[in-house]
Amino acid sequence: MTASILHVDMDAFFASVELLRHPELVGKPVVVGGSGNRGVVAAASYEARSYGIYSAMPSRRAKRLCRDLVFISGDYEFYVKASERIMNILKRFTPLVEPLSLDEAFLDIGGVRRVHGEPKSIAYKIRDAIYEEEGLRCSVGVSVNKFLAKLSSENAKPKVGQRGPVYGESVFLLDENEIEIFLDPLPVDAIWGVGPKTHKKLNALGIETVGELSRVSEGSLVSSLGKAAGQQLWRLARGIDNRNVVVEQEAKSIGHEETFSKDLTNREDVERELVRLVDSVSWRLRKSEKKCRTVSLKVRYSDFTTFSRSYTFPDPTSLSSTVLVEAKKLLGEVDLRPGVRLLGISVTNFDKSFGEQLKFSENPHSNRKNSEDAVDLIRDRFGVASIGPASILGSSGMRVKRKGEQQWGPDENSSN
Amino acid sequence: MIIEINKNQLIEPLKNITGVSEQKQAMPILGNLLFRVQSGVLLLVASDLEVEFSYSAEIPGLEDFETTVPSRKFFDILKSLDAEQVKLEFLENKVVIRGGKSKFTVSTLPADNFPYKNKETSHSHKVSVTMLEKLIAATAFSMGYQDARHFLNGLFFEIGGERITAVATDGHRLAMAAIDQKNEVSEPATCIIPRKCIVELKKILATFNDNKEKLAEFSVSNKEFSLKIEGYTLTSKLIEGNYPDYKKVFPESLPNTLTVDKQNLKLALQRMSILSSEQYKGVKLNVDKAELRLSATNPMQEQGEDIIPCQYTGDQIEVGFNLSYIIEVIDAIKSEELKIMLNTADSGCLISSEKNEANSKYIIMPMRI
Repeated sequence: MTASILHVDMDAFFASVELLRHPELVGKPVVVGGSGNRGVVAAASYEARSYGIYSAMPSRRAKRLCRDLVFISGDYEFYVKASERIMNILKRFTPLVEPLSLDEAFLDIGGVRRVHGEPKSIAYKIRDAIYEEEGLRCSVGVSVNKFLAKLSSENAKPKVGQRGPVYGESVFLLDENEIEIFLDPLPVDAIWGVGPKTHKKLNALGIETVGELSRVSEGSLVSSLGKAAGQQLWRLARGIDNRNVVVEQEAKSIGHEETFSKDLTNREDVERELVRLVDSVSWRLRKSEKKCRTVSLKVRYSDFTTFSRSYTFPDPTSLSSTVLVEAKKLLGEVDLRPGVRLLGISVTNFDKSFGEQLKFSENPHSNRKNSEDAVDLIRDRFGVASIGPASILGSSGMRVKRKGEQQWGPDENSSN
Repeated sequence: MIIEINKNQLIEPLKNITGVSEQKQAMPILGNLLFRVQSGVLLLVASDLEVEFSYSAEIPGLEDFETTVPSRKFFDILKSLDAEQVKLEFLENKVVIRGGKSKFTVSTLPADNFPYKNKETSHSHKVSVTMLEKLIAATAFSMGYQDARHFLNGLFFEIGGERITAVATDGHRLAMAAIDQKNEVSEPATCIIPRKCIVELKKILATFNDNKEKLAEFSVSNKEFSLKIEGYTLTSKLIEGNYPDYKKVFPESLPNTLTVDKQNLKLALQRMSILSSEQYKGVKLNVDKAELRLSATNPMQEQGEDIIPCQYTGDQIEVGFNLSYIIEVIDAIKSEELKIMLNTADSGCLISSEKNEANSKYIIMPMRI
């Protein structure tokens, strides 16, 4: 087996993209994320990282660590566009590109070596192309499978120095005969799928490193972790991962969630937020020409207790009004007194059908459908915020939910 | 307590009634059959609280006695025994079943906990078993299945002075049939009989189907439907709720009439089903003067096409349908020729036939393909 899988991971992506349009901030500690008390850090520049700030850290803590920290609230659409350009660069090297998120992707270059050369040289070419064309840095891991390629790109990442990043080659090749030496000293939680719970179980077995893990029998892993998890871990510890690079994975769910700057207890307020979420999710559902069978409501209380409720429709739908009726029923069963910190709506279980079966009682629905089609057309032409349900009008006017907005918690001055 | 009996005296009734017993066993007693002997009469009862199916027969010479035995196991054991004559020895909490050289010990549960209503129902109506079976066969396949609109998960009956009408719909298609039958009712009685009871009803009617003269007695109250044939009594709770006004779905005008050979159409539809998409079996019908063109595509852009001869009066029309809905109607209709009346690509079609004992009519809503 030769190393033909690449993992390309952008360095501090959101922050780096922002620095391109804010050159005055280059060299300063910058984070992208919600600056409010409940925000989180979505991405931190290497300068910010040298203060010990990392992504997913609560913004409050980040501010305590670095007084001069510059917050930039996220601009999701802007990152999506940058990401698309980068993915297009990757696709010039191989059609087998599997994006994992906006800022990372797996590539299978097994079939293109005659055209583009050896794996390591392809990795260099990719690194250089992205830097020259987009002004952005990335790290590339090269190995025999996805799992090892991802660990390799981790190894290729710039080091956090005292005053910013210390760049190396940004490319790391893990060859077949070096796998064991590479894996052995790593801590077990470097393995994909080992979260705090599994980590604890493994520690209880006296296992701290991947090397120790690889010397445990498959049977004893299965008996302490369960069949699927045990077998998978046993294989990964040996560097075995048979997953293929899959192009274009279809979305399995569409959803939005929002953390409020103040906990909501008033049912009217929560319902208004619910309408916003449903409106936006159903709109995206119709945009992607799908219908859903299931809608799920997620609620997080102020004490972080989180739960969800779902409903499955008798017929697949993409109508905001139909989804909303059921979402409201789900919310109706929820006790709001503990205070709602976060509310989320997602639709899943997409209908793969081909064609639409008409029903006897089609008429009342088709009026709804016509009006929602009209709203979609208006939004296509004048933007998402040009029209929306009257019921989302609050004291601060109408705020139509957009994808990516508020992903990392509210900003300091946001009004919800 | 020991009972010696020819096993066929038990197997035949068990075959008919054990389907009602609940195998999921949320309440273990519902997985059991009531087994009772009283004044020389053997009574077997299966129940899931919604549907109750009982059988009784005189078997002289037995002492009074009652218990409950696990339905499925009891039936399977009796069937498997390599001897006609079996011996059942009922002990505390168990029964020993012997036949030939085989011996089984099976647990029993006390009869006190079995939910047998033992209600004397007066069965006021009589109906021909053959006709009732036809009525159900012509309609039941269109019932809803686990529909959120619970009233669709059953068969709707309307018992009028002159006829009995049955209707089934799942919201996409509707089947209606009627048989002539004089009933003593002051005004039409209606009821929705749940799917599970219909399944049992079909089974028991089929058992007596050879005898064309055979009559079944039945009654309908506010809450219950009950039917009696020989020793069998099938009782079911009714589905509450208002059945949709089925008369409304019959279109007022259907200008275009298509007449086609049933078998030809069925074969062509089956060919199309090979390529139509899995979940919704869509087929496009394009009708012009003497030709019916069928076509099916799937999300992979594969295509199938076929042409069959037909007679057609009306403008050329193209309309899509779920082909399984049409095939199910074809299977329910007995005559050779099929009459399909059409309007537009967005309105339902009406399927009927000339020779038609159950006066059945079918409406199928189209698919936008």
